[in-house]
Amino acid sequence: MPKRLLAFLPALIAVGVGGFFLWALVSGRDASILPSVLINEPAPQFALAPVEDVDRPGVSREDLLGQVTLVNFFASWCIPCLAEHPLITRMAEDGLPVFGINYKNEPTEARNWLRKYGNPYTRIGSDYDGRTGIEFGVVALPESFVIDQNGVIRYKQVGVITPDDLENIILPLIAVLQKEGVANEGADPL
Amino acid sequence: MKTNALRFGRLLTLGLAAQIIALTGAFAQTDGAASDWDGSLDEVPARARLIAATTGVGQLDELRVGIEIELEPGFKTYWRTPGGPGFPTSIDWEGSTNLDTAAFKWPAPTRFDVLGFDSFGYIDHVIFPIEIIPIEIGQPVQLRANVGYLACDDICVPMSADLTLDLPAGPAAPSQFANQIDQFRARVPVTDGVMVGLNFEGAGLQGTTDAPLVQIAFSATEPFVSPDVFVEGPEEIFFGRPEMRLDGNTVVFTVPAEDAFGEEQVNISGQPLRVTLVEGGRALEARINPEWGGFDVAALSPAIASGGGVGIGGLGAAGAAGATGAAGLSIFAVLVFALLGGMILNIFPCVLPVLSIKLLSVVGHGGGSTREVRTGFLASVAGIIAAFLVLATLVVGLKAAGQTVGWGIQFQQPLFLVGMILLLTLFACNMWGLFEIRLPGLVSDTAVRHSGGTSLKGHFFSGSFTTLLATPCTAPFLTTAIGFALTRGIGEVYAVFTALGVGLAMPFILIAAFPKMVTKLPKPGPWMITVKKVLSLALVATAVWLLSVMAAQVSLLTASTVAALMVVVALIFAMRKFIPARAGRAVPVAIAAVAIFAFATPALLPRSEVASAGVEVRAEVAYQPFDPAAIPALISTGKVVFVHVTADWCITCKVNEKRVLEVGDVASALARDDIVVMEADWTRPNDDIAAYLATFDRFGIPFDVVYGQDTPNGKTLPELLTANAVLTALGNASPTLRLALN
Repeated sequence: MPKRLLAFLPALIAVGVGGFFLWALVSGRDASILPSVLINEPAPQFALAPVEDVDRPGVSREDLLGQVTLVNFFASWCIPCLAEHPLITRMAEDGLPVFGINYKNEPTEARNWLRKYGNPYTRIGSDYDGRTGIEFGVVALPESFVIDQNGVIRYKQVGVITPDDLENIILPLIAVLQKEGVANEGADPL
Repeated sequence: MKTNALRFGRLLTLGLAAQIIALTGAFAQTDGAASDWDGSLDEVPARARLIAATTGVGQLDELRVGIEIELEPGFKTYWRTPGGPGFPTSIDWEGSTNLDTAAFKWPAPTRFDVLGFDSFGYIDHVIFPIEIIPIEIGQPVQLRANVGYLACDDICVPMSADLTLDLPAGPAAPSQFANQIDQFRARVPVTDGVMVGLNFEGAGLQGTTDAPLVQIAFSATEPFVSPDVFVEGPEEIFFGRPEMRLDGNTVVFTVPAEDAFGEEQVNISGQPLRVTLVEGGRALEARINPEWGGFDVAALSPAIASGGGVGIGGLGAAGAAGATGAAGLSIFAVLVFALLGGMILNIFPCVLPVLSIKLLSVVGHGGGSTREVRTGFLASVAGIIAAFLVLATLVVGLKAAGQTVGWGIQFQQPLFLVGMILLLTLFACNMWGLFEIRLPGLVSDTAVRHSGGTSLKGHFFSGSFTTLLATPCTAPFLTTAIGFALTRGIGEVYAVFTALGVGLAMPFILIAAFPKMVTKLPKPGPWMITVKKVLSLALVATAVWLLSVMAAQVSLLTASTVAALMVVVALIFAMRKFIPARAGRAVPVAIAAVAIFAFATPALLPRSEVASAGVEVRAEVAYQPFDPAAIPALISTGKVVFVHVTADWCITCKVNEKRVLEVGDVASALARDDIVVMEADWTRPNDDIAAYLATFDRFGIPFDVVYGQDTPNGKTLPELLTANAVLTALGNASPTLRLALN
């Protein structure tokens, strides 16, 4: 019996050593792979220039303060972004400040896309190298954040916003947050 | 969208373990001919690696490598033109050494739908073949590839992979990836259509300047099954979903074009466009500059020009990027076609006898009760429709397995043919009055003597039998409907086949609805015997027709033998009257024995193929198993050895077989006793075949070699064979052949 167990020893060592290396390997990259848990944390620092030749100012963390905002990561290459575009447009039309972050996208392509499908965003920042995406833990598009008047992330939507999500989660949350006012930290997020 | 969050949140639990297994596994298996995967699918939705067809650079002036991308089920990555939003794979070779050029190849794309938008690309898995030209032949090549690609499902993830693969100096032994790389290379569209049996016929513009339609026509050596076309042009032009009209070996696509930025006028006349035709595993690329008018469909296919053929309407991708709603056949129109086609089948020779027998059986009932007639016919209706559903399931299954499917494919099965012929013979003997034994089940139904004794099961099976008999016949509308179904999804296949079934069952449905029509027929009498003898002849005619199918599909000899056996069956029945009753018991045994012999015939007799067209005589090449070790011995006895490496996925190999190896002078030459033809089937990876190819510095197929006394090391033939090239190579291989073939 012990002999049989010994036979597994090299395999166990291999798995152990391999596991350690992998852990080391992976943990160095997980900012770009794992969604960071940012809910109820202040939005990260960022300052993005506008998309070239698009008639909207850029976005920085300071622009988030003093109002409830929806920050929407989008790109022209992303079909799901196009799928949720009508809803994003509707939210903007209803008066919510919607800030776009144009993720890993050629400015000309983003410009054409906005020209073709409409531009609902009050501000758009160009995150061409994806660094702000990393700060926000964005790996997949689309992704949207509801940010309160203090610049704290209160909700994160990975993937397309469906009408259902909008009616049952996002709009009610925004209504609550808008009543909360400024500097009401520590309130229950939902 | 919680699932998406979860999808990426599993890392520290399952992901880590899986990655250890994946990576340690990868180290163990790849012989250094592949880079590591850049991740695990438990962690990210897609991963990539570099693979090479060889373990070393050898003295090759061109190295075959590939980028393999594996996606989580449901995820897609894009072709060089994504169709809608998306971006193609790109590679940066920065940091590579001894790399002159890297030619990246795009395998033919698939059309798929992402959230209602038509897109072109690859689902679940793809290998992009790459041809590397080294600066210095024989020196190590270090590949450093930064691969950017997009993986999309209901979310999109832009991926970036840094891949490293070193190909050392030393022998270019084939790696385990040689086969797979070549499989994907075989899917890269060719510009010379002969290689894949496809031909570009012409293109032109129709419609108006604010709604132009690009018309593109292709033909094929075999009827089209599910062709699709992809059009690429200047970025300001958006091409919608093609409408297709299909007429056997000809297809005409009409592709709506619109300005990508919403301008009224579309500047398309004379613009350079690239069109890619994809039909199953084969793909052809053509460059066109379509002009207004410019192409006459009527000259190519009158049927298509007059609105015939299979029309496949643009469903029009929904949403903002949607195509213009191209007019075409809706599924409802196709279902009406299917219904009509099914009804028309009833008057075709393959079905008419069965219908007549059925009617006669009712008469046999002596105008039985209305209720009895109704239930009997309804059971047959159920049988017909059930058989069509079984056929639909088969079609769906074969399609899923990547097989080519069409109407009546089972008639290429000799055993099926023998079975049908035998059944028809038994029916005919029965109708002629040669025997009146009640056989169980299916046959009992048409043993019309016994009024009221027919079971519902019998009626059901006679319906199914009707369907089987109908399959070799094609009626107007039928091919249209089936062609449509074959290019669509599972739902459409079932819908169309059900409609066909309802159409075929229409006479039965009518009788079930108005049973009085038949119960009012005259009482049985001597007239019935005459009618039955006439029907018996009709059955014999059907059997003869099936025998002719068999002669075309299998061989004349097999068909004649089966025919003779059927005559024996009839004689046994006929003789029964003249032999003592006790010996009569041996009759069923004798019939069974003959039947078994008939089933064995196709296997026992040599299969010499006679083309049904009857124009060119196709000789069957007697392929021997691949055995390279035996070649020197064969040469020393004066033989010439022809090695043909082929694979199911190698369309050009198949084209070579059909156009050159198995026809005309080449076929008769290869049939000679002093030529041994070896076939190596590389459909699946095979180390022996890969190693053999590598001895010629080849890592892909088609590949054909001729060995003989004068060419003991083998003379390789061009990829696309010609009769002349093969005959010359055979002639050069040995002095005796040179004389014989000249």
